[in-house]
Amino acid sequence: MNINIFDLLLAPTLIFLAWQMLRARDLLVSIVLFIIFGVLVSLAWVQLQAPDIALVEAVIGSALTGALFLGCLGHMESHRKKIVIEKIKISKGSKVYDCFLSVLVISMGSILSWSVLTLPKNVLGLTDKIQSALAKSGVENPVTAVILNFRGYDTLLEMGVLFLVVVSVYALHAIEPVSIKIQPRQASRVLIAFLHILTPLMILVAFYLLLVGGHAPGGAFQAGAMLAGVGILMLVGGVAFSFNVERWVLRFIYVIGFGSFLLIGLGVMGGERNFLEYPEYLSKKLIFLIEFLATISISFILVTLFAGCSGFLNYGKSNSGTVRGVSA
Amino acid sequence: MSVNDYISVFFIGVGVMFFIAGILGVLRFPDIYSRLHALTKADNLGLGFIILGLALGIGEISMALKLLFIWVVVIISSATSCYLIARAALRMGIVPWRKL
Repeated sequence: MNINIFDLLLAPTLIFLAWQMLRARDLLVSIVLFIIFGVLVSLAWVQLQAPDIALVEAVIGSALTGALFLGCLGHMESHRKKIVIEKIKISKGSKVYDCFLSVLVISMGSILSWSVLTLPKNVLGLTDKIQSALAKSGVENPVTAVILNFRGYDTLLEMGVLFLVVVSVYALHAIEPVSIKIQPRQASRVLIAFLHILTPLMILVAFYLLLVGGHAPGGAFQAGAMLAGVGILMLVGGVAFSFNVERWVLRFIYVIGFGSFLLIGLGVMGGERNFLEYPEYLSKKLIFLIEFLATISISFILVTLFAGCSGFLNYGKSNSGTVRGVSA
Repeated sequence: MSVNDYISVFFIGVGVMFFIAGILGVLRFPDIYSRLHALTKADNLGLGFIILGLALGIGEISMALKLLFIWVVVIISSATSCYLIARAALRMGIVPWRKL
């Protein structure tokens, strides 16, 4: 085993940050620590030579979730006084309860460390199997091959979960029309200039991530989150990106990622083939199509989630047919 | 190690010094505005020197350009976020610190 000094610093820092995050009394402090924690976790993934997961962790786990939390907190605080978690008084419980908890934690800890220590050394896992089947998958990046071909079912369900989430956001925001509005706020000119530089770059990077997913780290989730980042920055900055669409267009976009995946999965069935078992000569194109549509869906869903959390969703009857992102 | 490596290590060292100075500034300076000042210096100059050192160390023009690009993007975003934080602080009514 080669342990370097960077890992030795990183591991305790992660545990320390997690601990501080949980015991911080101010929610804002917790969120900031959570974002830092996410960045360091993605560094840990880099150290484990898993650049795909590192990318997802950095873009979704740290940046996007952080933005969701911050937006949500801002929204809550604009309605209520500052929220401070009261210090939880554990010590008031009985001694028996404390002992029970300690024994539970210690035994869980020892089971975990025992299982880590008894792991067989230098196991390749499924690497060989995946490498040998890679030629048939239609892509050259093993991670993409697993996500969209070998274990396409899991990814299909993930898309389904995202779809359900956006449906529940709508459900929570009253039954009827939902549209994205921007509260009138003074958009800073510096921020607008910044967005003018950054927006095209981020869109470019998103599509690069999508295209490169076939043979290098990248893919639909990273690209979708990057595009969602563009939308969130615009929402927060109050930049006018007015696009009026009929409501069914927006719903169509929400559905299309999950729906097309499902339809393609069903469509390739027949003869000897199972659900989601793409024919070899088509698999490359099908995977790209699924990823492209998934990217579009994911980005819109994530922006809607942010809008829902941060009070940008409007459930008035007034402008029901449109989605607008217009600032004063 | 060749001469090139020494130069690259030297530049990275200078960059690290800027970062340490920046951290000290954030920890020790009296108010948010001077802390922001310290932080952005670390971002701009510290990262600049580290990237210069790395680019020399790699010695490959395409990688060097990528690193330079990262630096430019970080500078733009750090300047913008610094401005936004300072503006928000001023609007919240935080008075800049003055020596008594």
